[in-house]
Amino acid sequence: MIWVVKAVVAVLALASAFPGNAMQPEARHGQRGQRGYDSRDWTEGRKQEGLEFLAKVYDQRVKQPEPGPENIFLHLRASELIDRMKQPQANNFQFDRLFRATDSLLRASERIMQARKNGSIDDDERRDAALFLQRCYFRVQQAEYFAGVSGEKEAKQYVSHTRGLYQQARSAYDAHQYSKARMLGDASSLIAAALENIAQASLRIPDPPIIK
Amino acid sequence: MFWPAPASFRAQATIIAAASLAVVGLAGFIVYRAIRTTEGALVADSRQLCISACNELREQYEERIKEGDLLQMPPEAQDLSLTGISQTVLRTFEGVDGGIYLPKQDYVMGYAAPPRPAGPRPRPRGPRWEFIRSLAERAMSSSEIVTGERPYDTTYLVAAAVRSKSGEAVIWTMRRTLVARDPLMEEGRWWLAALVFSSVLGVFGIVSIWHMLRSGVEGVQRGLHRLEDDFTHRIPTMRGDFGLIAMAINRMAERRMALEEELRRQDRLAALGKVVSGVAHEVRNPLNSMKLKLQLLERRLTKGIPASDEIQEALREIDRLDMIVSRLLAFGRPAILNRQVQALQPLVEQAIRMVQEPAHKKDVRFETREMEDSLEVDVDGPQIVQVLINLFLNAIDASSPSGLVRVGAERSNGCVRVAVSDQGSGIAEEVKPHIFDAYYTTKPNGSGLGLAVSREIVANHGGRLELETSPAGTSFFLMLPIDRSRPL
Repeated sequence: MIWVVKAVVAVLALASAFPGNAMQPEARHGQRGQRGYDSRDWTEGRKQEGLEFLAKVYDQRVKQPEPGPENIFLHLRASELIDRMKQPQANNFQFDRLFRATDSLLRASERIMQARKNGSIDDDERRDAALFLQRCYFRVQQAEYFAGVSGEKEAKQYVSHTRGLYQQARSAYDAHQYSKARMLGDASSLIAAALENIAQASLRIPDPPIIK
Repeated sequence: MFWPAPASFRAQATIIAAASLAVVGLAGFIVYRAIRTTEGALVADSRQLCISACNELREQYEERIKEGDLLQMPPEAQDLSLTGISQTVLRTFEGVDGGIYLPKQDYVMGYAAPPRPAGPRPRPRGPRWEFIRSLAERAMSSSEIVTGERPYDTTYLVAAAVRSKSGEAVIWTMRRTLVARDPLMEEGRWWLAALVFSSVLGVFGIVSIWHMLRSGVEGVQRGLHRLEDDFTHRIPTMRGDFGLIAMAINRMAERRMALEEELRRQDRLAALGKVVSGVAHEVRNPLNSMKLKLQLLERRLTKGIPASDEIQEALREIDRLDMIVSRLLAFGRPAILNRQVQALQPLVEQAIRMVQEPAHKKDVRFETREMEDSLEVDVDGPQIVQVLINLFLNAIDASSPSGLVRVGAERSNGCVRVAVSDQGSGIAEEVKPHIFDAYYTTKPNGSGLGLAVSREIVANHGGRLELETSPAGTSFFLMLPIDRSRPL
């Protein structure tokens, strides 16, 4: 009975992180079908909607009490990325990648906060947590490469926080706090994914011509 | 030598052949190890490494595909993401590079190579690229992981490839194996091959020599064995040194035969001389006696004195001459045997009875050991009795007064052995070689034919007459075969 309540709480928490206006990338890709990055989708109006969505989520995260060093770092980086998105020289592809990177950082922040609230012991999730952490570990290892090609000034700190969060996830796993381990591991993966998106944003890829 | 060397040629040859085979085996083992440790093992290790890396890369690629956005990105962005995967996966596989080949675009994405001092490895091109492409084509038509290897410069390229689940890409890995085509190793392999070849050649030569020596030695051995029984046999002609040895042996045999013939001729002459001198000696005595008697008879007849005694004496001397001539003829004439199986004991007893008188005169006793009733011989009875009489008379002559002559018989090794032993002073060494010669005698009144005739009779029966002598006495052994078809 207790785990059912926990599951409901977790679902509600995740739902609060992804508002219903379908601006998060996964939802958009599902709707558009073929080309998720298609820069033609990022019209000026939608860009504005995206920025507003990120700003709203950012505000929610920043208001959290006792954010901790990782979240402070993530919030700072998210703020910087939002500023870069607003710059006029950012083309649609770069906007799309930076949007995803910012979204990943804010979701990582959310996972960290949830993990701190959740310290329960649950043996039933052990195997799933182990497999999930295995995947996270691979993403954490990738972070170093993406940091190297991203050109970010704070690249080393990204990598450092990714590893730190993964270590915390391992510690939680060892303490049989599997839900917490999954959340921390997910946070580390999301930061690595953000690094990947930032690295992709650094590529000089021109937008395809708009066919009218 | 720290151990005794085997005396037989065959054992020595076997040891040499075994040692040669051991050398070949060792050389083969060294070559096998060399190949195994260079090309075989290294290529196998590289292949296994490539397979493991390829499987891991595919797994991570599929995981990344599941996230959904990868295939919708521009190629540059895809390449960056996939390179992140390849870099992360392949850095744990030493010396392995790899990536994702897209057959439709004929392009490699996410290429990652191990760091090297000369800088980043360029993307595959030229023969390496063709190799990957051909392997990818094989992988596209197979659901399993495929592998391949090919020479490349001074190295071997070993690669593995597998099709992605969706079939739009081929994940591949490749490794350069440096040692197999190292020029020094190649040279070393030639030397090893030369070692094996020379070892095989050496063993072939040794086996040939061994075979030649063995057949040569066996041929000579067979020839020598035949020569022991038949001196007219000749060793067959052979090639090489054994042929020379065979020729030398044949020459020796011929010379020996010639020498033996010469000796026999001289023996015959010597024997004839002895016979002639013996006959002359035997005949002269009665002739002298007859001459004296006839001269006496002449004087008596002149004076008118009766001379019947002289005539009787002359007639006795003539009888004696007749006996001498008869015995001489008997000695030279081929014997006609009238053999039949009969008990031995009666023959011995008969002979003893015949010599009772001289034995009694000298007070010599005969001691006959108990003989088996079943002791039978296949002989001409009177002739064997004559032999026994001769042996007994010799024993009586050799015995001192009141001496003892022992007679015994037994069955031994397919023959019946009769022993006649006296307690005399034995036979002198210089006399012993001539004891069986005709007309050889040490007795004042001996004819010198007794033992010669006896040996002739025994030989005609397929037996042997031997003697053993010592200062304590002499023993004659009369050995007669039980089966007449198997002479001694």
